[in-house]
Amino acid sequence: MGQSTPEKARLMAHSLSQSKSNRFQSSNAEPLLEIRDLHVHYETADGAVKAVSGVNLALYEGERLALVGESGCGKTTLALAIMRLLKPPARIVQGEILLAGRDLLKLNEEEMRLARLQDVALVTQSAMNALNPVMRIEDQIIDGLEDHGYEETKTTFRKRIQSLLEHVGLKANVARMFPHELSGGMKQRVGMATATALNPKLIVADEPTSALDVVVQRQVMTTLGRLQKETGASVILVGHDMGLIAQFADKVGVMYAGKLVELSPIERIVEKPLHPYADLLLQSVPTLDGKRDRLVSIPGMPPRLIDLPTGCYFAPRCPSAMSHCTNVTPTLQPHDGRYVACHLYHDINTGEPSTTATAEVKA
Amino acid sequence: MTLDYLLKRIFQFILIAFLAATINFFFPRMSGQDPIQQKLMLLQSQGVNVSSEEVAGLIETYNAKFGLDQPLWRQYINYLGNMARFDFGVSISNYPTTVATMLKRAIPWTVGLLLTATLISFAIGTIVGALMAWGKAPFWVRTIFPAFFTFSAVPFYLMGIILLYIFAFQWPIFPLFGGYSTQRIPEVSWGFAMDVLRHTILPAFSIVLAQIGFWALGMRSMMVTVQGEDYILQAEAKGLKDSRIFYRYAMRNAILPQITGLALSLGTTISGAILVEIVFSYPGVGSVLLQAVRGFDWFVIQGVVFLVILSVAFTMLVIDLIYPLLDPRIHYRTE
Repeated sequence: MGQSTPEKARLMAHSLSQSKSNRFQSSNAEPLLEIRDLHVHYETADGAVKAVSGVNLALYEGERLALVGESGCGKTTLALAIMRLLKPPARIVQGEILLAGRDLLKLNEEEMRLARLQDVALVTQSAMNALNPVMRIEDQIIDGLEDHGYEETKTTFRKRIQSLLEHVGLKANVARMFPHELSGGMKQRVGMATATALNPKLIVADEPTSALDVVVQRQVMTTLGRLQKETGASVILVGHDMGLIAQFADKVGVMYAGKLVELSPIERIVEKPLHPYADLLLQSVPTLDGKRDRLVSIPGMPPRLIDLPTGCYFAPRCPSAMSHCTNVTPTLQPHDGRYVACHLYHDINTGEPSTTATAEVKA
Repeated sequence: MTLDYLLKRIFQFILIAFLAATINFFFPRMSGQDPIQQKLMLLQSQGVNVSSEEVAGLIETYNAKFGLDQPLWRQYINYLGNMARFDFGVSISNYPTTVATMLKRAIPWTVGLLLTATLISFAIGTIVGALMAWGKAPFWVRTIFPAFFTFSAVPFYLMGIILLYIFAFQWPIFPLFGGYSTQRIPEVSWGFAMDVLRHTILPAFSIVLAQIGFWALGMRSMMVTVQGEDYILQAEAKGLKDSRIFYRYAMRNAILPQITGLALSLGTTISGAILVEIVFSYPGVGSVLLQAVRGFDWFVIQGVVFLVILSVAFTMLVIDLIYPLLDPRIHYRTE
């Protein structure tokens, strides 16, 4: 079953740029974004749907983190929680989201409003509908500037917008256009131009390539990468296309049922995923080497987030599950310069690296 | 927008007017009844002694006017010519007043009353409806206003009677009936204008109360839809002020179907709010129409119907022409 993993790893690693390791910062610097024990629930009549349960995460300046996982594992909820854009019935139950040392969850509405776009910007999932259909592109960007206290003449604003658009590879005349006159890719570029209008420290890109064709997907990711390099912002990319993510991200956070189960540098996780779920997730990426096997999928379904199983949430689907996996919940622990939440790697009693673990990892 | 489109659209307008006139001509004649005979029968049944000169005068006038002795196609051509000149003939009930004169007298009252009432209820209803759907609106807006919409369930003639009873009968703040005080002579003066205004308030208010709910509910459901759109989320992610998101992102998009509704409703204002006009004895088109229907005054009915069709067609023409300004996605280009 796991035969093809090394091939895939080679294919993916092949496309990784060497510059990535340069951007990787040492972990003793202050993180730009630190999420501590974040819990988000959707309050429903049947009880709380625990979309995010206890996520801990640190992101350093200039880093690119990708969040991956199946649909409904809490990636988008986590991304929107950082922006504080979740609507009822979603509720951030507990936790801290520290951006440059400031807890976003403690800000009042007005402070949070000002933080959006200025400190943290969002590139949305559906580029097609993310623009107001009745407004010109430039006016939609100017709105954002004006509401952050920029009072400039139309001419100055226009110059600014022109350079923003050029940075994402759009012509200046796009500014005067209406959204329906743009293609999907162009709209997503406008989205990125808007997101970088005030040079935020953090850009949250929530599946920015969904509903775009593969060629445009690649262009969008390249542009996002270039913007990241130019502005030095950190990026959180939510997605499930491992191919695109491998080309873009420095670090990958694998989410399962609202928990972060593994956090690793991209090269390492592609080479050898630690968490069994991450392993299966990577195996389900189809190969390009001509073999037309059946697509590999992970048997079973993610648990219902309304009544989560005890112990490890992945245990019922896990090929390497041990007897105590269904009783004891693993926590995210360091392992060999990476983080993983799995009993294979840590002793359940002490939290120390397990001695037998490495031997048990899938043969 | 191109000239081609404009010409095409104006041609359509003329076509509609032509069809309306045609239907207006043939339908009454298909009913197989004779309005002049009916009028005479009515007068006789009421025991009115119609002198033979009067009868002869009436029949003679109509025969001359419409050439009723002529073949149908000849009558039709004549009729079309008359319609084009807005010559709707002579009223049967108010002989020898022409229909055009009667309409000219009534239209300003109706249009003045209904235009104001419609615009006021549209403005209030739209804003209230938008606020009702806006999660960040003050609590009282979202709770008190919906209670107001119970008034929309009350038919507005009934509302009119209630208002009359309270504000004109119990407390005579407003006049009981009419478009102006009977002792006054219509003139252009401050005093007369105030008098007209005083007479307008109750009928206008009953229409406004009845219509607000209609506009508000339409707007509310559009706002709910629009708020689920991604550009609203994106607008919030841009850190925009709530007021800006409300007006320029949410309301601006939600109002588009409302405007189409407004155009339609403005188009029909000319026919008057018959029931309100009757309750308040308001001298508008609605009252004229009612009298015409009662008196089998077909030429007046024809005139009113023709005007209504014309004005609806005209407002639709106008709204079509200005719609590209409201919604840039709509543009008229001939390939």
